[in-house]
Amino acid sequence: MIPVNPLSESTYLILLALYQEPLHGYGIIKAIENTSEGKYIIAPGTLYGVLKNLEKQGLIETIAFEKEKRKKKTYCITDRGKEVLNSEYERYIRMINYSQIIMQGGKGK
Amino acid sequence: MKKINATKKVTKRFANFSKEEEWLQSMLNEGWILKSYDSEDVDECQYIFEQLQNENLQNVIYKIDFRDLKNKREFEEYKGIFQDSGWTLLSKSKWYSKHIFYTISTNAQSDIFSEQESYREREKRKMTSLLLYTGLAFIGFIISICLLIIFEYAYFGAFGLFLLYVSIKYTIDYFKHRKSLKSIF
Repeated sequence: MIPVNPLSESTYLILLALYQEPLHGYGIIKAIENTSEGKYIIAPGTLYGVLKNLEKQGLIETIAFEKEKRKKKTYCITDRGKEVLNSEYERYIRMINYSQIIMQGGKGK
Repeated sequence: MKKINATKKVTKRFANFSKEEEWLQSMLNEGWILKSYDSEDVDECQYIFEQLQNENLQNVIYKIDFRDLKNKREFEEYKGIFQDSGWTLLSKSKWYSKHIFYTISTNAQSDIFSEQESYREREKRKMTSLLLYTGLAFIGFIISICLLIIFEYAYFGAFGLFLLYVSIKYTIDYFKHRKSLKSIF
């Protein structure tokens, strides 16, 4: 089941961070901060809540480290997660295209 | 010889996370820093404060999260993510639902949440937990009344009334948290 509701900005950013490579919790915060050059900073409480929700929905999963128990829990995006992220990305593009028609059309008149 | 800092125990009950954070902050202004608290999140909570020695601790910020953590591993992961982000967790084990954090660094983020939805979810988790306790206390009340009718033993009546009082208390807290939830936009 693909969620119909738009993803929250934090949820989108976290899925996007995992799209490239599997990361552990704080690694996600750092990756988003670095790639966006500090434009997006996710606070730890928000991150943890989003990770648990995404895991429950099956959009991300943890990679098991059976031998190294001390290693930090690492998350990776699932195929369904990629699908959801792609359809959300397309939704954003449609919204931008539509906005451009209105805004630039409005300016022309 | 090691100097022993003065400690202070305070027992208090809150039905609002912001008020609890503000109270911890006001204790800090009076020179008391929170060292630990017990895992009781239903009735009164016991807070243990220590007298402030280091002036730098004046820029401490307290924040509270409410969440059940399934096991030790979850607790360690949760604690680790916050620690890496500059927050120290004061809850001691997975048996805690209320998690009090503090940060000292001045240029760190001043909040544990970065979107409004996280505040709404915190209230919802607290409300679910209160609803569960209300239900349990109420079931206990019904059972006590049944036992009172069957055995005609006044003790059951008194116990039943106590449970009814408890369940009403939680219901009031539930509505206080619902009010907080509705005030979040």
